[in-house]
Amino acid sequence: MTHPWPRIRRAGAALLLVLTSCRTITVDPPGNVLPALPEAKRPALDFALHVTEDPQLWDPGLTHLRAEVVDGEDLADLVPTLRDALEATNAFSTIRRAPTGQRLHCDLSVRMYHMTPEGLGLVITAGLWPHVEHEYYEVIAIMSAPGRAPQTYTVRGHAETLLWSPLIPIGLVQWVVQSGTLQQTIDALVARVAADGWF
Amino acid sequence: MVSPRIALGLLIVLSGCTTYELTMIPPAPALQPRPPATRPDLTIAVQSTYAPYGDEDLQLGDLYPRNGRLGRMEQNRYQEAFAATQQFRSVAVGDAGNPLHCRLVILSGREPPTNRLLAGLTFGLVPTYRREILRLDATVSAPGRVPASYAIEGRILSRTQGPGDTTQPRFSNVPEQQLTAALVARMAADGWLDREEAR
Repeated sequence: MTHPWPRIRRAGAALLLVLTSCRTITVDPPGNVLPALPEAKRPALDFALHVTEDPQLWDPGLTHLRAEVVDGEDLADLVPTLRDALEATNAFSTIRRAPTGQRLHCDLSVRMYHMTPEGLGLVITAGLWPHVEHEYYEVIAIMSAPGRAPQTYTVRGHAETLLWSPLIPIGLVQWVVQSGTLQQTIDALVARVAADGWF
Repeated sequence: MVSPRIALGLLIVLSGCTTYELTMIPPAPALQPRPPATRPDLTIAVQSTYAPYGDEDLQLGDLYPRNGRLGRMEQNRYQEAFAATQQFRSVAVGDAGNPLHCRLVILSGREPPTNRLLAGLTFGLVPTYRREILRLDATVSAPGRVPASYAIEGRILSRTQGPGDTTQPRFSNVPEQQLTAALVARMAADGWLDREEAR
């Protein structure tokens, strides 16, 4: 009997390829090239994180839906994601969540919203009806360091993904759809910070 | 005749449940019933914070205030828990200054569920355990009386069996209600609930 694992892997890779090819990520302003710093020259970074889920990122007219502060354990769950995104830029030697102190500090305020289709519709059509998912991020970063005036940066990221996902587990689809956008937004932010000489 | 597969499926679904084992420190006196006519009004203020769980204790160096959606949920949960003790005529959220006021400072955190892989592989037949610590610091005040403080800690062991999602927050409010009842029993033993009657 042929082992099914290579087939599953190939199918998974094909799925990823199809889904990502239907996705457009835009970052505003577009990021410069990330700095290629030797490890010894990378600064240590402290960061603070505030997150809000705001439907008005998708549609500013949705004034009846108020923004929701992400707090407690929900915020704690997001900290590793942000830390990983900062780490993936390869621009910092160490990264930790800490208040402003003696090191380079980044106060991150993230507004985000994932516009996902109605679950019931997906179930009824078994994913056969194509739909578009939107993912929005607005990152406002206040950079500070001892002896230097703080500076604010704003970067917005938006991903639009056309999905036609018959019988594919929705968790897998959303994992694919929602990966990459935050990373590109953080990449653009770090590139701008580096261009301004914060490193 | 029921097929073995259906029987196994039924067994998994029917056995799905979560039970809690609560250890209270210090142990609380029993709460005596209070006639409706002698119940005082109470206002509460709730301030809640999440602390990650590690090394069998809460990690106090990494705190996340519940100041958004989870904070509102906590406030409602404790308002209901005070009301459920049937010791108060009314329980409202408010500031000190009313006849009887309780300011609750809550610190809590839970560990990630253990045995998740095994539980998943056996479709939930192997139980998943999760430990949690819930600390309540209450300051009780009333006009003309020196405020008193009460501290109570609950150590909760959740045992989940069945095909549920063990990563989700605890659904049941029973531990909060038991801890609140213990707190109110100590308040009652110190005469805080009788003071209203005397007026």
